[in-house]
This record gives sequence, C-alpha cells and structure tokens, in this order.
Amino acid sequence: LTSPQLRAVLEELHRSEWGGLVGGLVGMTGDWALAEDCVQEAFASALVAWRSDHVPDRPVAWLFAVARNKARDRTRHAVVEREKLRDIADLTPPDDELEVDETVLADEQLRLLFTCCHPALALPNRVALTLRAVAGLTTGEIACAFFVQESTMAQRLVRARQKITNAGIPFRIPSVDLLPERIDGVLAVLYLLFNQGYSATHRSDLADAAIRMTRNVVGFAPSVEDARSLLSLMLLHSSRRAARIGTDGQQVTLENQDRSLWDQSLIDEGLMLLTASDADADRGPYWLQAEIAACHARAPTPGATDWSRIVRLYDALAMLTRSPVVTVSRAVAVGMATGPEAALEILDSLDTDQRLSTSHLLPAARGDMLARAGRHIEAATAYRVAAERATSQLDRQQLLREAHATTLPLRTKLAGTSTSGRRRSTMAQTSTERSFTLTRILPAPRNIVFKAWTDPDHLAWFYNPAMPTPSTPIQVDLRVGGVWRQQMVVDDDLQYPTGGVYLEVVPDERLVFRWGASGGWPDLAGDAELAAPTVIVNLRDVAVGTQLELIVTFPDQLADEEVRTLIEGGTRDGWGATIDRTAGSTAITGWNGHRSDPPE
Amino acid sequence: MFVATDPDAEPYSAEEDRIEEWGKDVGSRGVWIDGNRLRPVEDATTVRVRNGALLVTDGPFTESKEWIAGYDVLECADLDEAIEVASKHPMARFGRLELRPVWPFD
Repeated sequence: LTSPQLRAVLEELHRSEWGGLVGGLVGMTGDWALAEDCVQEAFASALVAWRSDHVPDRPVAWLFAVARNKARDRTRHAVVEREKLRDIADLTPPDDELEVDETVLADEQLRLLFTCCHPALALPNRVALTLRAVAGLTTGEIACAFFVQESTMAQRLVRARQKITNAGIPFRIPSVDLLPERIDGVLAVLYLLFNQGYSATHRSDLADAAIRMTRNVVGFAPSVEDARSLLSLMLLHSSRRAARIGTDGQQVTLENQDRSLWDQSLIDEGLMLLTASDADADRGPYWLQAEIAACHARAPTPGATDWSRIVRLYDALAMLTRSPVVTVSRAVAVGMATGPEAALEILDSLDTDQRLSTSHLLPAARGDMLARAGRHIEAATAYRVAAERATSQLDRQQLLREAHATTLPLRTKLAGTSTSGRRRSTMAQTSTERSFTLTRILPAPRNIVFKAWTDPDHLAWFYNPAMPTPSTPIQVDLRVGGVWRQQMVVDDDLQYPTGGVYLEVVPDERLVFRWGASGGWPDLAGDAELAAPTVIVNLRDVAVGTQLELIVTFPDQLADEEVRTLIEGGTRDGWGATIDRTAGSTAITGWNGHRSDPPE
Repeated sequence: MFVATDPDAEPYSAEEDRIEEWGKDVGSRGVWIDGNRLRPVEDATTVRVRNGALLVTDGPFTESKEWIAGYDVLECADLDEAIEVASKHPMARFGRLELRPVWPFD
C-alpha cells in the first residue's frame, strides 16, 4: 500500500468504526475521555504499523485490541491509586485481535449515541459530544463548525462527560418503554447536525456523519417512521450536493441547479424510505419536510414542481412547529404556486415577528418574490438587507450576487431602446475584458461638451428620451466625492436614480466617476459601491470639435462571467445610446459659435 | 431528590396526591432510603457567620417563588431509574423535582 492509499483506508475506518471503538471502550472503562484518547492513539499506531507491515485481516479487531491495551496500560497506575474502573476484569490480561468480537461494535456505537443524546444533557453538549465520541471529529473541527473557540468547545465536552459520569447517565440503549421519547431526542440531535453540516457550514463531513448515524438508528428501529423520514430527508437533500455548488464555488439555487447532477440513487433510496400517505396532517415534521424535498426530487424541471402540494405540506408543518422560518418558506411556496404578490402580502405580515428580526430569511424571501414581480430595485435592496444579516460567508456572497443579478433584466430593458447600440454589440469583444470603450465626435469645443456633462441645466439629454421628463430635479455637486444624481425612467413601472460619485474632475478635459446612485442603479449604497463600475470621460480636441472617449471599467469584485453578462447584457448598448444623445444637449444645441469661434 | 414548589405547575389537588402509592412502590423496590416533608419557609431560619459574628435571620436564604418542600434520599442504579422514580412522584405534577447525585466518598 502506498502512503495515500493507507491514509484513505484509515480515514474510511475512522469514519465508519470510530463510534463503535469508543463505545466498546466506554462500556469497559466508563471513562469517556480515556476511551476517545486511546482510540485516537490506536489509529496513530495503525498508520505506523500498517505502513511497515500490511493491513491486518481484521483491521477493526486490531484497532480495538490496541486501543484496549492502551487503556489498560494507562489505567493500571490509576487503579492502584484508587479504584476507578468499573470492570477491571475486562482489561486483563493483555490480548490481541483474535480475542476481539468486532461484530458487537455496531451496537456499541448505538449505546454511545443514545447516551450522548440523553435529555439530561444540554442540547449543545449533546451535539458536541455526539460529534466527538460517536462521529470522531476533533474538538477543533467541531468548534469550527459551530463558530466557537476551540477552548470553549473543549470545555463543553469536558462538562458533558463529567455530567454523564457524575449524574449516573447509563451507558445503554434505553428500555422499550423509554425508546420512543429517547429516539426523538437522538433524531433531534442528528437533524441539527445534518442541518449544520448541510445548510449552515457546507461541511459534508458533518452531514455524512449524521447520515451514517441515522442509518444506524433506522437499522436498529426500522419501524420508527420518524427515523425513516429523517433519513429520507437527509438523502434527498444530499442528492443535490453536486449541483448546489457551482464551478466558481458559489451556491446555486434549487431553481438554477443542473438536475442531471442530482444523485439518482440517493433520490431513489430517499423516496423508498418515505411511506406514502393520504393524510399529511397526521405526519411528523421529518416526514413533511422529506415529502417537500421529494416534491422537488420528482420534478424533472423547476417548472414541473407541484407547488400547490408543497404549500399544503408547509401548512401542515406550520401547524405542527409554529416556526416563523416555516412560515417564510410557506410564503415562498405560495408565491411559486399563485404569484409573487400573494407571497409578498404574507411576508409583509411577518415583519412584526421578533423571532425573525435578525434573520436573513425574511428579506431574502422578499427579494426573491420582488424580483419575480419585476420590482428589481426593491428586490436588490431586500437582498442587500439579507446579506447584511447573513451569518455564513457563502450565504452572504450568494445574497449579494442575487442583489446584483436582479437588476440584470433592467439593464437588458435599457439596451432595448437603442438600435445603433445593438449593431455595435455584434462587434463586441469575445474575451473576458473588464472594460469597454466608446467614442463619439461632437460638434462643439471641449468646454461646451464638459458643460453638457456637468451642468444640471444642460443634463436633460441623459434622461430616457422615450419617456416624459421626471419631476425629480437633477443634482450635481461637481467636486471629488461629490454626487451627481438624476432619475432614470425606463417605463411606467420602472424608474430609479442614477448618476455617479465623482472621483476625478479636470474641467473641460476629464471626468471620472463611480457610476450609479445610492439606492439606485448601479447601487452605490454601502458595500455595493465596491461592485459598481467606474466611468471615465476624456475630451480631446479634434478638427470638427471634440472627441468624447467613454471608458467603462468593472471592478475586480465582479467575476468574469458577471462582467461579460453586464457588458453583453446592456451596459455597452445602453451607454452607446446615451452618448449618442449628448449632441442633443442644450449646451451644444444652444452653443452659437459653430462657425465663428474655433475650438479652444 | 429535592421536592420543590413551582408557580407554573398545575394547582395542587389533595385527591390526586397519591403519595402513599409512590411511597409503597419505592419502598418495595428498595430504592427509598429516607425522606421528609419540610415545614413552609415562614418557619425557616437562616444562619451565617460573617467576620466572626453570628448572623441569624428569619426566613429562607433566597427570596424566591419556588422553595424546597421536601427531600428524598434514593439509591438508584443510574439516572434513568432515578428519573423514572421521580416522574411518578405526585409533586412532579404539582411542583418540580430536582435530582442531585450525592458526592461520593473517595
């Protein structure tokens, strides 16, 4: 075996056998920390021993024998001092793997799981201990997944182990009469683990560990519907794993996922676990959520999704959980089933719910529905609020991209007003250039053209000529850091402020500005400014007047793909149409020196 | 096991207080060692020594709506057994019970 191969073998054993090995040792010694340490050391020994020799025929038995011997060595001294061990006889004499019955270790893993999930432990401690003792994650890995300091997590684990020992929490699978409630407790922990791994942190190791443990519970209690439903829910969500992160590492929404990447074998298994039912109302929360996931899994295209069934399932789930998060999801389903306005009405009614006031879910859902309603500027604002509240970096990036993407149709609309611009776009560069340049010759000297760009009395040419002039006045504060702001009316439904923030002002020669307006398009509010394009206007003397050169540059914050979409999707054509109109500025048409005054 | 009052629990009902049944059950199982009801907090006296001076005051040591109304010393195999025994005590309904392991003698 090569080193990487051996490592892979050990990693797989670590994943599948850790809990059983620790459970076996806990059963013998009653000492959790000792059990975890010794199993860890056994894996370290295997890495050395198996490299120089070979992988033993019964690797699990080998690991257990080594861990057990280590536990005995470590406790021998302690035993002399005070009788700590529950069962000394089990630890003597020294043994090898021939004496180990590894087939019982699956049960040991279950005992360990039920003990870790005992209701006498605080929920965060249950989750932490389950990850450490049953799933074999290191303290650092667990701390990282829950955004706490490693020392905090270590302390939490110590507390949990102490409580088990001191309060006498039994190390066993509970008796039949206790089983229903205890299985609920175990499933709650596994559900939390899976969600943390799948949704919050995108830690597939956590999600996989949760699936493995849930499989084990289903194998132990196949008739418990909640356990089967939870496993189904996990498998159906996991089936989308390959599709939900794009090649750029960003999240892909359900609607935009390539469904051919969904893992059909996981979907099949998930659907099979899901017992059919006519009465959704009688079902538990895991079943309802799994069935919602199944509705997506069964739809070959997003358009084929049975949204009205999903609404009914959310209705039942909302009755059961009274969770505001469920209500938000339900509102989105209503929007998909009957139209975004209905969803927005529900979402507005949730504004007063204190439980949602710090969550990104409500504004994110509102952004989605506003965008579907064609209210792009409002949608972008809602997405930006959501991004500010998001706790995970991936969520925040995703929401900022949505904020940006939602104004794309608007830009395409703008481009549609120009025919000359269209023609030019056929000559568009095909590379991933991050800027474009347009030039025009204007029949006036530089000072007049500069006036046309910077004097609020002569900027009306910048308006959309197809629409009536808006009543909002044009503001120009012509200095570095000053704001130029004027209203752009696209059609009866869509208008927004635009303009820019000046970065450089050289009278009659050069104007550089960050293009856009706070709360408008492109948006310059807060962080959005980082993604806003920069526009340079250079004025040069030519024989017949002034050559205007306009350079639009997109910032590094935008991906190549986004820049391409922006350029091809309307900004080039839009600016082409805009500067075509410069010649119509009252500054130029009113200039009376056409013949007499030479250009300066 | 501490037996405590709880303002959020259902109102006490003497007819449904089947403490004798509980006593018989735990007695026959051999888990009950000792126990007593305590007189109300009006009869409590708090004792402190501060800077060498004895300080005796009327009442319990905390101003709280919940107070300890009794105790039972139980000898259980593990926490699950203790929980099961506690869950059958009438005051699990009319008050609340707190299970506290005894510090072992080293």
